[in-house]
This record gives sequence, structure tokens and C-alpha cells, in this order.
Amino acid sequence: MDLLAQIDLWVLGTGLLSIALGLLVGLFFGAMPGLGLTIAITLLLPLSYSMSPVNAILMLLAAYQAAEYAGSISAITLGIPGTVMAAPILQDGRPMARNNSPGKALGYSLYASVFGGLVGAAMLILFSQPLSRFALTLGDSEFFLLGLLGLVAVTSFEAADPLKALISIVLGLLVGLVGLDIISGMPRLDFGIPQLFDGLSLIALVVGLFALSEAYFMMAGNMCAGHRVPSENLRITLTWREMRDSGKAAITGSGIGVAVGILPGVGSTVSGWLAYSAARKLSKTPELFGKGSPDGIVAPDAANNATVGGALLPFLTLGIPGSAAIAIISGAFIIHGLQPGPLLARNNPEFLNAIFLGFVVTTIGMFFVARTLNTGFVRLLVTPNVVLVPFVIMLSILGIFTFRAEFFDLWLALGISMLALAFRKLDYSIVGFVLAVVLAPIIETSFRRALVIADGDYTVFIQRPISAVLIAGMAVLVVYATLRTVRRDRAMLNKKEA
Amino acid sequence: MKTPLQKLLAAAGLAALPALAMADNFPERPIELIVTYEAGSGADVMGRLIARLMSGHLPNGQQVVVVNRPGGGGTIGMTALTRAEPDGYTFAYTTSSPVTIQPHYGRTTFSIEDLAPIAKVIEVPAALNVHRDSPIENFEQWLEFVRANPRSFTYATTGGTGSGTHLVTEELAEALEVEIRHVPFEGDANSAAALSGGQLMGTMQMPNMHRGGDVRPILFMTSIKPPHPDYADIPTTTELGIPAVADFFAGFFAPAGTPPERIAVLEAALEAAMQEDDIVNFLNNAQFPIVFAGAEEFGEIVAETSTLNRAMLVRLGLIAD
Repeated sequence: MDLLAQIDLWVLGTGLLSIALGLLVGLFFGAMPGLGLTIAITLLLPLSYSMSPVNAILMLLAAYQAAEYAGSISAITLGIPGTVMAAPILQDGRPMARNNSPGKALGYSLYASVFGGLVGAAMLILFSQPLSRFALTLGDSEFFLLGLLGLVAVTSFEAADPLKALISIVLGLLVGLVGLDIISGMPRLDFGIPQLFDGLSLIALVVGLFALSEAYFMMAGNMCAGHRVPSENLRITLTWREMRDSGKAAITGSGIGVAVGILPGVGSTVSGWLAYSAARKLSKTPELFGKGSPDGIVAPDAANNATVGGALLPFLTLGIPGSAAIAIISGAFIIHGLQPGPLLARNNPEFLNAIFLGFVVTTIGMFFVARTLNTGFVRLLVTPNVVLVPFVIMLSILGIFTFRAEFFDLWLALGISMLALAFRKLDYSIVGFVLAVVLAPIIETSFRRALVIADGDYTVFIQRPISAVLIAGMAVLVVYATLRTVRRDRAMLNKKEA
Repeated sequence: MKTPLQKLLAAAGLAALPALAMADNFPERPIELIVTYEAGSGADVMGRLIARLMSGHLPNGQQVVVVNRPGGGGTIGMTALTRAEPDGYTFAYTTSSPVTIQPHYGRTTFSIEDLAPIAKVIEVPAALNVHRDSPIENFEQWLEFVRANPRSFTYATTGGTGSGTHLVTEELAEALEVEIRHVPFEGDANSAAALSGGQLMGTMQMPNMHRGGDVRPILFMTSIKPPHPDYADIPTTTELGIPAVADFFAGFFAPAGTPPERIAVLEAALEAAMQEDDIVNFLNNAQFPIVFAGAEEFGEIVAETSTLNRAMLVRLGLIAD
């Protein structure tokens, strides 16, 4: 293993600082109800322009990891999940905090998060090299199917309403097509605006979609209300025996988290709930679930954090982001001229090794930072929105503008944020939209290029065995989504009749 | 302080020649260099390195300050350049495409007439390549193959349809009267990977055998070659007399109307900077041969490349005549 051979003091120092910054921001944003994971990453993105590529990516991944955990802090202490992913934690975290102590629940949550994060890291380290080598043998026809699989996965899992998700995806695909078409050599949908020649600025897009639109939402609510937080029993006290007893739930959760993370486009909003119900089915004491069962906290929290490593795997090896957060992080790759995909392992092995090493450090660091500062973060939850909103808007504008000093990008972000507001009010899928934007070039270019290479022969998409596997995967997802919709509609119908 | 010469000139009543007087003091403040690509990109790294080193060769110890204006395939930065005051205090570092290809589409507000070339500092070699293990061993065998099998040889370009690599390869096909099929790619790592993965029969790009890669050249379509011994026996189109010679340059431009004396100051500083060890090592590592062309020669290269590109774009039906 040459992972450890590359340690250099300066690199180590700046690397640790970047990770620490990412962890603090991730913990804070993740814990604040409303702000959440995507905003943490979005607002850190501009800061990464001037950093070294490794530090930039590590900072963003640290924020990702920490926010996945920190959502549980507010779920447990306030009863409001700080992130959507932390919603399953509410089921048992809240009762345990009330009946036992918040510190105990936070302890289970933290330990499970760290465990899940490490499992994700192990998966990355073990599988990224072989998967990259395998991916190099894939052609355009397979990449087309992989991208399509990602979109099918988002439609079937992520959204409450598959039809609305589909509409969001189509809009995202349209936006993703803006700019130069390398097959024809002509720019498309650019309305003669030179700033659109290379496509929409991903930074402006994600800041508008996630950060600005969230700021509008906060403005629509009560700006001055602060949360009341419990002030006692916040210290994390967890015994070795308690950890061991919930080990099975942690392993189940991590496994599900990694698997869901790898599935392109599906993130921890799904893995948390899947892990929760799986842990309940496997538990010897399923009756305790919902009443403060440790397993009910451990499984979803382990899953959330294992999703990070899982989602990173298809991104680093295939170039296909495993979750919306990774789609945002892909912005940092673009800025640093790094192309995620099978070539990364071959051309930048030292970069990948540094990321893996840093990823482990991040996860362990999260344990110590969260353990020491837990009480502080809980106290921070009282910060009213009147302080947060201007802060978010200011950082958003700064971030967009510093990327390439184009006023156009600010207008673009404003427009996009209005669109995002409408999307959220009407329950369309922002996650589907942003993934479609990122996947559109992969899907379209590989589709058309496969046809150019095959001289127009459409059977190129079904000729290789791997294509059959991918098509079968899509079929399974479509069936799953259909069944889910039918079941839900029937349940709604029954409710109406009753 | 005036130099004795200036005093003499003043005494002779010649100080009224403003250009001369200005040239003597230029530059009096820091100079802005527009780099037309993203911060951190390959062109940006090179542009910043040159900017740092040329500062040491400028009169009055003035600094060169880099500003990134990416976007529009490099044309946003060039548009900004042509809108700047032509006083020598703004110049740009860019590559061949935004100057010799993009303006032909009529989408830019500038043409090459709006630019004053200062110097060409880099030329990227590019060749028609096959896979390292391909049965096609050299250019003659390739020609035999494509003549016998029209439309079966697929080649990737690194910039897609209408890019410089595409245009020159079509010039080659036209000159040899053969039919080969173009497959657009983005970036030379992608096209190299597609060649390694067996998706394609060839590529048009910088070969990578010297780095242990699979991209083996059979014919260089630039007049220069990487210095590595692996490429010593590979012919160039120039040597074979085939009218398909590309010049994928990177160089510096000022807005048209910049006083020639000031361009000369920048050109001299650039020429000196390009001989510094940092740059020579950088170019050696990248396997780029050392080339330098001053304002006049560079101007001819730009004009000629632009004319050839325009003609090919028309023949490919990408633009109207």
C-alpha cells in the first residue's frame, strides 16, 4: 500500500485544516434545521477554487460526512431533523432523548455515523481500482445506459411523485444540453449569449437551486423565531457494551447505505429509511422501535454516512455522481481540471490515494470534533433565521461571482433560484433536476457517439452482455416504481373510502 | 529623470513625438494579462508561469497581473481584450481556436483584424495515431488500408466537430482522397482512453507513447514533433509534402492599435522569459518542442491558419461562404 508513503508535513497540515473547516461547516449547516447538507457543500464550493485539488475535495467531503451526521443533532435535541436524511432518526432518537438522555441518543448517532463512514471508506479503497479498470473497457453504448440507469433510479426512488420527477428530469436534461454540441460543432440553446457557449455555470446553478432558494423559504417563515434547546445531559456517554449491542444494526445500515449510495442518483434520503425498516425486521426486539430503540438510531445513521462513500464510488470510477451532493462536488472537480471517471485512477493515482486517506481521516476526525463540540453545536441551534439568511445570501453571491467574475452568472442564479422555488412549492424534484443537468452531457454524447462509431446501427446498445445487465437493472427499477405508485394510490383510495 | 538621449531630443524639438517618449517609459504601472481559460487549467498554469517570469524582464520592474476570463471557448476573454484600451497595459494569452476558428462562425464581435499578435510561445504537436498494438505499422500501411476500406477507419479528435484537430484531419483526407470517419471527443485523455478501450481505430492528438500510453503516431500533422526518441522516425505532413499542416499554438495578443513600440517591449520580455529554466523544464516535461515566434512571424501564422481553417469550415458545410 503506497497510501502512507505520500505524507508530507505541509500537505498534511493544510489537508487537516481543510478537513477541520469542512467538518465544522458541515456540522453547523447539517444541524441547523433548514440549512442542511447541500447548502453546506454549495457554499463551501467557492472557497475551494484557490485550494489545492486534494484539499478542496477533502473539505467538501468532510462537510458532506459531517452534515450527514449533524442532521441527527437537531432531530434528537429539537425533534426537527436538520436534514431530510435525518428524518428516520426522529423515530427513535426523540423518544430516547426524552426517556433516557439526549447525550445517549447523540452517542448512538455519532458512533453509527463514524462506523458507516468508515465502511464507506473501506468500500472505496477496496473497489475503486478494480472498478476503474473495468470501466476503462466500457464503451459509449454502456456509458449511455449507465447514465440512463441513474435517471431511472432517481425517478423510482427519490421523488414522491414519479411523474413530477420525470418532468423535473426532462427540464434538467434540457438545461444540461445548453452550450457547444461537440458532435455538430454548434452551440445550442445559448440564445447568442457567449457566457452560455460552454454550458451553464454549474456553480451558479447549484447555488441558485439549493442555497438561494432555501434562503427565500426561510424568509417566508418566521425570521426571528429561535429554537429552544435542552441544556442538560448533552454530553455523549456511550459504553463499549452499548456500542457492541447495536453492532448488527450498524452493519445492516452500512451495507444498505453503501449499496444505495452506489446506485447512481439515489442518496441518503432513501438509504436512511430503507436501513430503518431493515433493522426493524432483523431486530430481536422490533417492538422497541419507535419508542427509543438504539438500533432505530444506529441503522439509519450508519446508512446515511455509508452512503457518502458509496455515492463517491461510481463518481470516481465512472464519472456518474451517486447523489445530488456528489453532483455539486463535481463542480470542484471541474474547477480543478480533474475529470471524474475511469481515467482518474490511471492518470491521478496519487490524487485518489490522498482522497481515500483523507476520507478516513475525515471520518475519524468527525468523531472527535463532534464529541468535543456537540454541546456547542446544540447551543448554536438557537441562531434565528434573521442572522442566517443574510449570511447565506451574501456567501451565495460572493461564491458565484468569484468563480469567473461574470455578472451574467448572478442573473442566472437568480433565475434558477426562482425556478427552484416553484419546483419546491409544487413538489417537483430538485434532486432529479440537478442530476439530469450533470448526466445530460454524458447520456447525450455517449448515445450519439456510439451511433457515430457504429455507423448508425442501433443494435450497438444491446450487443454487449454488460448492456443486458444495465437494461435489466432499469427494468427492475421501473417495476419497483410502478408497484410503489400503485400501492400508494391504493392506500390513498382506501383512506378516502374509510 | 530624463536620459541624455531624451534631453538631446527635447533640445532638438523632437520630444513632440509622443509614441517615442511613451515607449521609453512603458510600462509605468502593472500590466493586466487576460488568460482566456479557467484558473487551474493547463493554459492557466502556463500563462501564470510566463507572466511571473516575464515580469522580471519588463522595464521599470513592473508586474504582470493575471486575470482569468474563461468561457465561450476562449472567446469571452478575447472579446474583453478587444474592448480594452490599446495602450499595451492589457494583453491576452490564448490558444489557436478562439483566434483562428471561432470568429469564422460570426458569433464573436471580433475578428483577427482586431488583434495585434505579440508572440507565439508554444506549439502543441499532434499526430494521426493508431493503437500501440495495431497491425498498421506506418503511414504507408495506413494509406493502403484506408484506400482499400473506405469509411472504415474511425478517428477521434480532442475538440469535436469543427475543432482544429478535426479540420486538419479532413484536410489530410481530402489531399489523399480517402474516406475516414470522424468521432468527436472532448479532451485528449478521453480520446486516448477510447483508443485503449478498442472503441476506435485511431485518434488525432498528441501521442502518449513517451508516457507509456497506447497512442502511437503514424504521421505528425504539425511541422514540429515531440523531442522524445520514440517519435524520431515518424514523418510529418510537411516532410511528405501533404498540404495538411496544423499549428496548434498558444500565444499572446494585444488589442489592434496598440503602439508597435509597446508590443516590442512585451515581445522582448516574453522572448527572454521563454529562455528561463522553469519554462524550458516545463516544456521538456510536456514534450513540447521549444518554439518562439515574434510579432511579425506570429502575425503571418495567425493569418494563414485562419484562412485555411475558414476554407475547410466552408467545405465541411459548417459555415456559409
